[in-house]
Amino acid sequence: MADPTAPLLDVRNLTKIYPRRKGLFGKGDDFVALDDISFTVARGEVLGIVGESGSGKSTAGRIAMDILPRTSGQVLFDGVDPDGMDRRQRRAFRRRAQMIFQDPYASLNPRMTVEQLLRTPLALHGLTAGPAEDRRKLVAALDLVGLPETLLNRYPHEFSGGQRQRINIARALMLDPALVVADEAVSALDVSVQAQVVNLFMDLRERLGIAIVFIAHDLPVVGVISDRIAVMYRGRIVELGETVAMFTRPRHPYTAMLLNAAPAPDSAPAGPMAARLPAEETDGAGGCAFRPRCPFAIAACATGKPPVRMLEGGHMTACLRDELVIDGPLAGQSCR
Amino acid sequence: MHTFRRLMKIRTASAGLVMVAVLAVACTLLPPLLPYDPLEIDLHHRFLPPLSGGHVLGTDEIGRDTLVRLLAGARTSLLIGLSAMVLSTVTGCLTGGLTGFHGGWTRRVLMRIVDSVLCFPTIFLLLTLASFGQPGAPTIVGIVSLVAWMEVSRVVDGQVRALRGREFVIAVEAMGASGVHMLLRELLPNITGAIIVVSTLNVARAILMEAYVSYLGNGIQPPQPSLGAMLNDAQEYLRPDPWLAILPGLVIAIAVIGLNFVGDGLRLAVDPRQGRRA
Amino acid sequence: MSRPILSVRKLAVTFAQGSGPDIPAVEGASFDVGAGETVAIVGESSSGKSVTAMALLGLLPAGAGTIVSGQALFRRDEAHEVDLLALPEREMRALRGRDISMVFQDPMTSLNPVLTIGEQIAEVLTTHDGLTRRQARATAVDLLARVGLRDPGQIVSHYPGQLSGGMRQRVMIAMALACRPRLLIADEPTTALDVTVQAQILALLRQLQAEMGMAIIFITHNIGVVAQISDRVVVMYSGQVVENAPVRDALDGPLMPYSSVLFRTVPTYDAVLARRRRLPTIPGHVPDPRHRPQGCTFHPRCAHFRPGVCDMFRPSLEAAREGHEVRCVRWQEIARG
Repeated sequence: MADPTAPLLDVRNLTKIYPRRKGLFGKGDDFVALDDISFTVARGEVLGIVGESGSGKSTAGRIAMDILPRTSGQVLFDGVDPDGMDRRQRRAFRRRAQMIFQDPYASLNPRMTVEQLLRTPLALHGLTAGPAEDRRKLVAALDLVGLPETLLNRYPHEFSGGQRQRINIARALMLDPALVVADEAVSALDVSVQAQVVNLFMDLRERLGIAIVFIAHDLPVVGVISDRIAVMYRGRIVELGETVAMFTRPRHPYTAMLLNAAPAPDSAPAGPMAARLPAEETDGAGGCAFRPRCPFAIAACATGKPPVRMLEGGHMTACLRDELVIDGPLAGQSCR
Repeated sequence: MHTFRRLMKIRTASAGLVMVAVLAVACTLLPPLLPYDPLEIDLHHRFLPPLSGGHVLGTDEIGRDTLVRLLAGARTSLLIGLSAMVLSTVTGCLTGGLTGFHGGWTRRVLMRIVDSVLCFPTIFLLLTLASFGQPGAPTIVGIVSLVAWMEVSRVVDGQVRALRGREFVIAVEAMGASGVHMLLRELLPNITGAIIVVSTLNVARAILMEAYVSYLGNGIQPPQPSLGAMLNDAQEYLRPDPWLAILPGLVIAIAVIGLNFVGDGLRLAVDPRQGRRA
Repeated sequence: MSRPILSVRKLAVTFAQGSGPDIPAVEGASFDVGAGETVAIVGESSSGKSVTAMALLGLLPAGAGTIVSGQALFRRDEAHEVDLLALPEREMRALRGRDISMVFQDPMTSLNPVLTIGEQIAEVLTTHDGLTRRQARATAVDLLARVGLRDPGQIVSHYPGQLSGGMRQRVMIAMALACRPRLLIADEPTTALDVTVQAQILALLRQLQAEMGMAIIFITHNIGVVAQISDRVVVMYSGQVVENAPVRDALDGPLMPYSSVLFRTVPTYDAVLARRRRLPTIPGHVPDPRHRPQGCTFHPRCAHFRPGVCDMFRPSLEAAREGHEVRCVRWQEIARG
């Protein structure tokens, strides 16, 4: 194993381009899903990734899990890129990095019982250790996610959405992972169930030391669970930093707009950061992609892709305007 | 089991199942109990009408017992139908599974071939192929499967492609599952319903094909009994002795209609949502 | 508050199935909607909130097994009051789209993909207002401009597939408001949208309401949205209205234990600040509508459950104070602490 202080997951300059062709002989009009993004996840850390649909947050998660090919860039898991792993390393990677999907209804094979579902990862990795021992593991995993063992012979369609998501999590836990990528894992759930599953993720991190990449569009939810948050807009990470710092003083106007739009019950409605119309086809032509919606845009914003700036405390932003001070919802409360 | 119960609730499907079952039981159990051999010629009792001279369904132009010949012919038909079905299903699942799973140029090439072959009127293709081969049951099975696997392949390809991107498949892929595992354990069990439906309809088609080919003389060779050949023989005597044609025609109809009923019923029973739409 | 524009009394909807027990989707829901007021109906899955809306609009699958009872008096103008649940289909159709209109969660499935936006809006106008084609098209452009769409003259000739989700929802709102309805029923209209688009749609609804003075029934599961848009909150749980109060009273001092814990399960900015603290949760899960518990349907999950009381008889909706109703036998004890 690599250096224990090094990040568990280190994503560098990841780019994903979908070539799009217009007509049979038409010219290429590529869609850039990810544009040179970099982030790290430390052991036992929860990194939130937020953004609206089409921001590339799910693409980033899937490439990190190596279930989607990338165009360029590096993904280092424990210092090794899945792309260059040998058979044995790859097996270990598939065991130690697990993924949870958004739709608890679609992510379980409807023809398998809970027992079969949970046994699958063991079988795939040749970790079966006799029926009694396997069963003990199964029951232990179910217990961790708060489900009784009496459910082992049931089929997925007999469960509610929240229970299914627990089964998904239990299945991921069967392999004792170091990293779990949760892609919109709570978005499809009822409010009260969502809280239960968010708590479950917090438990997993604390009790098992699992690092989590928590991908979602709901900022308050991401804020509750994440140590650090990466905010994505149109394929770029526009801001990355500690949760409380970001909620106190967002450094990118888009983050501020998201915070303003995400209606937590205790938030005051719209201020100067009232959400603006997403630009249609007007953006893209060089410059900052957020510029057409940004109330703080200046002439310089149109001249080139704004570089990522490092601020104090590991905070990063891709906004040119250094002097900008925007109050977040936690402004003035952080001392509490 | 749910599927079976739903199937039995569909009236046509249960009727079809009874028809096929009766036919299958009759042609396996009945022949040994009857005092005639399908090849036994009795020139003293030619053209006996049904229910006369100890022959329940009469005799043909050279005095062979019609019932025994019908049963033997039906047995051959069913066996040919079943073997062609097994062969075409296995081939179709393998090819369709692979193309649906991997996509890419293999899929494009294979599916274009399938599409273009399926454009031909099957019967001409069949006859052309039959005229090259050694006539007989194995040849018929071979050529019927040659056409039938494509249907299966196309269905499996489509279904696998639809399910390939579903999260439960990606979930096990992310867990390190191999392609074989995904195909055999995750994908195929989810499309058995569709496969069963095509396969059932393929049995019916194969029986019909066998009848065509034998009728036109390229199939089962005389004196071996075959429903198609019996129809052909009966042609000359259509006026004086119509039952010689009616009876084999009826047996073919029972088998094909029965199987089609079951197949259509299965289509509904396997996917209850589709039932409501229909 | 003056006379309500809609007064729902003892609305009950049961889906009878051929096999298996009946499903009582809504059991005796009663609430009022004042003129120009926004009432949010909040609940989780199988709470009956969407079925309630569908019943009011007469959109539940007719015949086979659907039994609707109760009364929903709708004031279509100062002099006339009609019972929406007893209205013949023909009159209901005339009412829908003109006096009451609706916006659904998924604008894609509620727009016809093969007609242009202009044709679809014009259809509403020509059916109800008897406008000519040309007048209707001009009005359509006007309406699209009012819901904040840039270039409305272009958009009228677009097909729904050419628009983004947020734009389609704006089109739906334009269509719903075409005939200046007195009541708009919006069923999760922003759930499928991105947060910034959601914020814009909510702002748009508030602005149009101020201009046109219509009442809105806003069905949602998102408590944050409730806080932003509504005047009054109706909380539903397993087919019943369990609390009905002005929005600030409901969010700041809910009396029914279910509403109070439901509101607390939503992550707030305070929760973000309290690093690593668990969110409050409700134990168990929403009961299967076919087998709801005896007594108060929430008692198996309630922190204030008292055996012999809560599980014995079903509490009725009682007025805790003016304009604040609650369905809990113990609300007074609980409020006293």
